Amino acid sequence: MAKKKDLSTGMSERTSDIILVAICAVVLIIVAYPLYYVLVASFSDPYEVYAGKTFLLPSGFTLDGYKAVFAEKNIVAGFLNSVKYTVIGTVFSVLMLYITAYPLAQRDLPGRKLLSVFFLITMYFGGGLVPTYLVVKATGLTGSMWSLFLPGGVAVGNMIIVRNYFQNSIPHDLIEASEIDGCSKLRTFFSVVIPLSMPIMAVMVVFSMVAYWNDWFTALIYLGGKGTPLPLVMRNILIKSSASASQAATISGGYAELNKLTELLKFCSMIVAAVPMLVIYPFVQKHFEKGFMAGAVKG
Amino acid sequence: MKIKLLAALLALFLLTGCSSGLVVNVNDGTVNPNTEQTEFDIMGGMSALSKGYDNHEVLDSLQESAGVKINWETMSDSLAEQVNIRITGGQYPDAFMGVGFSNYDLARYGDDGTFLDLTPYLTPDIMPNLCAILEDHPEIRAAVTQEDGKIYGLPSGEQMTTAGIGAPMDEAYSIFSVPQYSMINKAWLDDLGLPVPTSLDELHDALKAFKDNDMSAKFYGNAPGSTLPMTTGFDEWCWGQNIFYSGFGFTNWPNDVINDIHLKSDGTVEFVCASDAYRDCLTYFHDWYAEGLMDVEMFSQSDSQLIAKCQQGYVGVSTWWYIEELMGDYAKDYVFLPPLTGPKGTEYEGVCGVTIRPGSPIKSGDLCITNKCKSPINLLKFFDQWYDGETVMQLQYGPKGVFFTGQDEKGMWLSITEDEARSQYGKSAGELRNLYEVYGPKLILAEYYSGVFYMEDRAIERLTDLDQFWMPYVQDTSFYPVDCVFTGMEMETIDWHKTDFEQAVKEQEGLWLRDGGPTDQEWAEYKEYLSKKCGMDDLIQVYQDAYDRYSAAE
Repeated sequence: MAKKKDLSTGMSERTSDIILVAICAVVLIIVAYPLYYVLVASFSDPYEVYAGKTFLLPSGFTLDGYKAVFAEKNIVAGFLNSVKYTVIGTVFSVLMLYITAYPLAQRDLPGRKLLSVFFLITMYFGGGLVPTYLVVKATGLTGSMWSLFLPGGVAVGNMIIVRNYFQNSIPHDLIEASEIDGCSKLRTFFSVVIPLSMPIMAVMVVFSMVAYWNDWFTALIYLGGKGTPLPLVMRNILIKSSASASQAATISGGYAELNKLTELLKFCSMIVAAVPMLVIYPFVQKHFEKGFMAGAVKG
Repeated sequence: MKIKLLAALLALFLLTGCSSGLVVNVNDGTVNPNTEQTEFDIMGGMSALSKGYDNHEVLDSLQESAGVKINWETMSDSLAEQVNIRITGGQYPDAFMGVGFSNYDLARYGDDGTFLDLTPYLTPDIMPNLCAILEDHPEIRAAVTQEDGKIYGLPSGEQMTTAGIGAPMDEAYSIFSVPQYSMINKAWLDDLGLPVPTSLDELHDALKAFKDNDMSAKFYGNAPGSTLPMTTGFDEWCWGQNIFYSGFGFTNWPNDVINDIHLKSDGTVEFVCASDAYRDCLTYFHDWYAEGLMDVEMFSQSDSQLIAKCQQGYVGVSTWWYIEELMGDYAKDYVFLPPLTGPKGTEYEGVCGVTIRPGSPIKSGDLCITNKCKSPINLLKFFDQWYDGETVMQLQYGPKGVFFTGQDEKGMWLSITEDEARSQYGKSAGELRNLYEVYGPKLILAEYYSGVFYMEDRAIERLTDLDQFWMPYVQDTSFYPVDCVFTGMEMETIDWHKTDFEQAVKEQEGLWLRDGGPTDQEWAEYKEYLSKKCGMDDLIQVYQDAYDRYSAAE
């Protein structure tokens, strides 16, 4: 009887499903349409885009933007550099997270409070661009790939998430049990903690990967033009094609034409830079969901 | 243990801090006679489309004839950040080229000895070409000389003026004199049976007619309601609304000196943004905005958005450098809209009407030699070659035999045509030029356009329009000279107040246009704010003093 009553007052499962799916569909459209719009715009005449003529299909179809992007000979080199930095940077970052977060998760670590504060300070205070550069320069890292990884080696925010995961999601009893069974500290770390923390590792891999993939500023400052990553190549292509309106008098090709390509390139480079991430994401997604929830409780 | 670690860290910080503090002041006014160094490192800016300065035909031949070898370190973007970091870090080259240091930077780096004072080197022995130019043009020397009499950089500038199309040299006006050319859709006017407006009130009626009849839909078949009677940017360089203010006796073009500055013909400096005419003007145009005659997006749109709207045929009135470029396929329907009389008729005309802007300034931030350079003489001999018409022409556009195809009977160099560039190099002439252009101390004098090479076609077109159509509307040709030299104190004042002042004025201008003109109280508060918080009185004083010294020197 109780069951029947529930059904009569509440919505049927079918109705609620329909409503939920409808809400999700709206959210999906809100999230996905801008991306789709950029995709469409990258094939359209930018002046028609700005005049509000594109909605679902390209208007004034053109491939000029992609032609200009792929005509740049640095793009393959930039892509490979980005892959290299992303892979090495991600491995390095995750390693650093593990070797800092795990000790800090041990309640019997001497000076644990002090070390935590030491890390926390760096979240709130930075030296500013020029002093940081001077430190990096003094260490002799400028011009080397390691200048991208070492200065920001430990992402403290992420480290806290990982630490909480170790504390809350891996039962202390399990660690004790393994030690009773004769595991050394290291063995416990490798054979128990790492396999159990795969979900959070996946999250950290994605976080670092996206960060290194998108990073151009560090490369701009420290690499000095050598080993340019993809986003910086994109930026150079964009700047190359851009002109300011005050030059309009002296650009013989005409400002409007040149500017058209610049606007088009903005859309194309967004797509080119985003596609690799979009391709990789589905493969780590299932870990991502699990791990993200697991590490969500901070404190 | 902890303390030891801290001490070690501290020591590390101290060490790294110290390594950049070695600066020797070498500006004692004498020539460094050393001529041993023949290989120099130069860091500088470059066009992003450039092919680079290594294996650059023109630069290579100049290096050869000066007997020097230059290692270029060039970049096309983020130059300023890189340069600042390098100077702060003490890792800078023998010279900076094409960086465009401001006078403030020059004074700072000159005072601390990073940049050499070049005054003692400006002799006919070391720099014969430049000295000859400075002899003929004392104003160029004045413009690059700091207040303490020192020169920290070689002069550069492009004097593109109406002299290039035949105007007498002393009556020539810069191509930048009137940056915004207003234009109106004549076909729409004809269709409605209206004449080209001669006053702002007539323009108002025309715009209203455009809107009421939805001319974009009716005449060009665009979507209903797409008509934009008038669209421009807001206080933008060549696409602002400022030309329409001329009916109130002023045009506050964006200005390299400081926005809204105006030099009256009697030599006094004022800010138009504090004048009664300015107040009347904003009150007047707010009505246009409220009636929907001015585009609601005028405050936020980019130039790309403006071009997009115009090329779709949505627009009745706008501003730009050229009609063709802005209006695209619809260009044939548009004509220039001359400066219009204001609602109070000629009452304001005694003030100034359309004012003009100064041309591009003579700068000295494009070639600075640093104290790392052991033999400035050798390097300066290399750069002296730049002060020759035919050389600088090739550095600006491209080598003879590539960009310059031959000489005519008057000995003037002819540029490659668009068709030739396409067929021989597969590029537009503009791209070809970008490939070869060198950023640096290029001084392109007005006389080169009548004795060495011809100006670009588009520049000629623009200057002809300026000379024939727009200059006749300019009654008062005085403008605040962009070459005024400021003292250190004055530069501090400008540096301190300028941004705040310009920002406050622009913001309030937009608010009044959008929300309705100032009440007496708002106006009084605004003027007080400018004086008290934005240093308007100090700024006027500074600009007046600098101008007085400038005109006394002339």
